[in-house]
Amino acid sequence: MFSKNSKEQINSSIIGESVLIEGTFDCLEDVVVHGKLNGIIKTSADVYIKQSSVVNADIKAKNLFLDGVVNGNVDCLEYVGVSASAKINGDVSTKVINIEKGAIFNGKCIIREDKKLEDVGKNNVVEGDVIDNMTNIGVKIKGKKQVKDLKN
Amino acid sequence: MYVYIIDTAVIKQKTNIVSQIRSLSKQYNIEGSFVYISILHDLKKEVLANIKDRTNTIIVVGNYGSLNRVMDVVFQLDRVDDVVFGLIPIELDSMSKIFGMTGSVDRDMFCISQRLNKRIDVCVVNNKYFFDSINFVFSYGFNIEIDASYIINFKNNCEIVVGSMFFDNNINGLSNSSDGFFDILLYSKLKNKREVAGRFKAKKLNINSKFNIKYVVNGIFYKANNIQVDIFKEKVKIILSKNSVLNNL
Repeated sequence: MFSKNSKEQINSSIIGESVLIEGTFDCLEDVVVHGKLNGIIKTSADVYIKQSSVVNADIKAKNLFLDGVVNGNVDCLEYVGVSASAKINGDVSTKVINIEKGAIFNGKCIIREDKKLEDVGKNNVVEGDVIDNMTNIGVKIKGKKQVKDLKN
Repeated sequence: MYVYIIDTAVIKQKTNIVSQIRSLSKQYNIEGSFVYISILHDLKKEVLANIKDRTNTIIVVGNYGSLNRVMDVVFQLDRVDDVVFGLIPIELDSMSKIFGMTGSVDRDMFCISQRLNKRIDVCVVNNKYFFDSINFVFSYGFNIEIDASYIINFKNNCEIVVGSMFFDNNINGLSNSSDGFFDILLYSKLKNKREVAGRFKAKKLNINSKFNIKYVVNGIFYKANNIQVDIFKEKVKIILSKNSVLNNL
């Protein structure tokens, strides 16, 4: 988990596998979660949620790289990356989202500004409503698809 | 105005070092008064008498413990802003490396004369000041709260290292000594295995325990049920050599 010469070592808050955090985790640096967290994560940097971890929290960050489970809403300034092993139960709001095949996403997805939904991989399933101001490109959406210009 | 505080408990028979420092202080134009301290001296009285009305550079000749004891007094007198600290190490320890001092009196006096300053964070644990790190070891019946914002639940026996300036091979480097935060390293202790279980930045840490937690600050042993660590409101100015690791942060 704490291998040497990795970027996460130097300027990150790290929550280990055996650790449970409860409350508002508010910081300025990257957050790497290997354990459990109940509450809220707020950072102006990136959040990495590793495969073993369960986060019952709303997340506000610049970028989110998700391999584990999130039960809560995600609000990212730039990017949300959802790997094949990841699961989100909650709404996501971001500029760019990338969902790998096999990921589970139950919630609404709001793509802000003029970004397309093209970063969502093909043949993926979004189980919820998608609000998109542009077109989608082959993603199966089980909920409503609403085309909306968020600038207005 | 320079004040050289000589820790006689550390120097012991190395009296020639003091005369060397006297002559080098003339050579480098950093002359000042000499104060001799030992465990028996009233350090507070000695320091107060020498920094009474002036802005000063205090050069501690001794080891890291000597420096911390002098700093602690200056903090308690609320004179941090008036003082710049330097260290002429008699023994090489982790702190002399952080200062970039070599243990060679000649070279270190030259570094002091160059006055390369840096402002660094200082931590306070239960009203005692320190600026490197402290270890707390405890087993069960404890509660850890950070920044009055979140709680860490941890079932294993654990050790916590807190500080604004320390090396740890496990985290691959030095904590940032001037960012206004201290680092908390949480170690899991199972049998003989000690592994990093978490790393956090904070301005405030509270540990409440059913049982006494033992810790050492500046060479003095303490124990308490409730521990509070804060970042001190002011940064302290120290003189570094250009080789100090702090210059790369």
